[in-house]
Amino acid sequence: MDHTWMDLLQQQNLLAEVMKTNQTTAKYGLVLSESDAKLIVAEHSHALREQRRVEFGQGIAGKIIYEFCDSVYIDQNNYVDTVIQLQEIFYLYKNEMLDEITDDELLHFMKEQFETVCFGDLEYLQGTCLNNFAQAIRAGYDGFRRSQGYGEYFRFDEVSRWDYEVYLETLKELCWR
Amino acid sequence: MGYEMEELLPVVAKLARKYTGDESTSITYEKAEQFMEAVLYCMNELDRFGGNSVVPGGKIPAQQAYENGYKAVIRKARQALELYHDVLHGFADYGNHCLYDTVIRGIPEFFKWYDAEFEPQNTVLTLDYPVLKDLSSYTGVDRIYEFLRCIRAEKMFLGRFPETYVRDVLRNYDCQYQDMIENVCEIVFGAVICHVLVEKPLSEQDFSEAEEAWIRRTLFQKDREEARNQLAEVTRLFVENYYGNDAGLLEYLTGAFDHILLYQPPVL
Repeated sequence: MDHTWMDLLQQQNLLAEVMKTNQTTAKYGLVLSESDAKLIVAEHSHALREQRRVEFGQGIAGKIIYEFCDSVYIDQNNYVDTVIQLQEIFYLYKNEMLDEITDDELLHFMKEQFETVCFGDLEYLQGTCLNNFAQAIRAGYDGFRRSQGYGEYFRFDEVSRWDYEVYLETLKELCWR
Repeated sequence: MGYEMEELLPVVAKLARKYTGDESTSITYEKAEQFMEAVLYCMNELDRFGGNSVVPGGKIPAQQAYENGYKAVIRKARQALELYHDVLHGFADYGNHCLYDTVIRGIPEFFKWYDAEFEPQNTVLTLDYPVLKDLSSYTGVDRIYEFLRCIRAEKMFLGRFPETYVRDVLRNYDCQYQDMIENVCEIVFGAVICHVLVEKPLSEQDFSEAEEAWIRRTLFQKDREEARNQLAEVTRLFVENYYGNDAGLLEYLTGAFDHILLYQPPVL
């Protein structure tokens, strides 16, 4: 089937939607110029085509910006690049998770890992955290529906993480001995 | 139907939003195609069977046409279910597994899984039992409905004969008739029409040499068009006399002509 009608289906008002996010993100020191917003919208369309998806409602760019704007790992210098990469990762994993997960659940999961496990490393988010989570979902895991995507990764993490409680216990023992 | 793509897109988008429960802003190309086909299927259903999308003041909005078409699809599914119940009453499979599996085991699965809203164009079943009508232009519930009409016509035709006679004819055609994937009605009709041609009772199974020669001359030695016309006339008289001139059955049985004219009926 000819796919031109799918391009028509994409929302045309994405630019205004992305520009509107400045009202919220300004307090975090993040502001998009019109050319930045145009770049994000263009890359958004590219990401959709790349992942063979079609968007029919409110664009995901705005949702990504609102979800990630308070991140300690995003500043004005990496803001546009990060949003663009997050869009690509988002659509890639919507497909990898076979559309079993909602937009909000996936965004919650991405944001939480971006802050706590990846420390802002998008490659680790994409190649490890989301990859492990997608494998679990393809195998039938659906616990994220109850948790809304929060607090999920420890079930699938293959790496032993820094245990803050053990650290504090040890610190107490050392200092107060 | 006459709707522009720009008019159809909001209908598709609305259907997609309903499918995702407004929890996803995007879908795959494959899903989008599925929804577009669903919208077109419903609109076509409205045009063909349920009413008209054109009103005196112009055409109704695309969304309205889709919703009316969707209701027409639901109506069609209900009609198909009623038809299925009608077919089941006194249904005989004559020991043929393909017929049994398709009608008794398969069709209920259609009604269980058919999704009139998001994929009305999906026939769900492969309908392995071959009927005498080409159903390739139909999909979804339309195909199931037409298939059931065919089965009803076959039931009507075969129901006039004792089951033992039908089984004898089938056994004569193929000793493993239980496992064959061929149309039962076509085989029996071929046998019956030979009796009709020589005006011989069905209880007398064997034909004399003279009778066989007459059948061969009638069916195989004339040019194809003439043989077809003669077969059509005999069938018309047969249906008129024994089936109350049922037009649906007469039309259905014409689907067996090619097979009879190409291959020898099993009684010869």
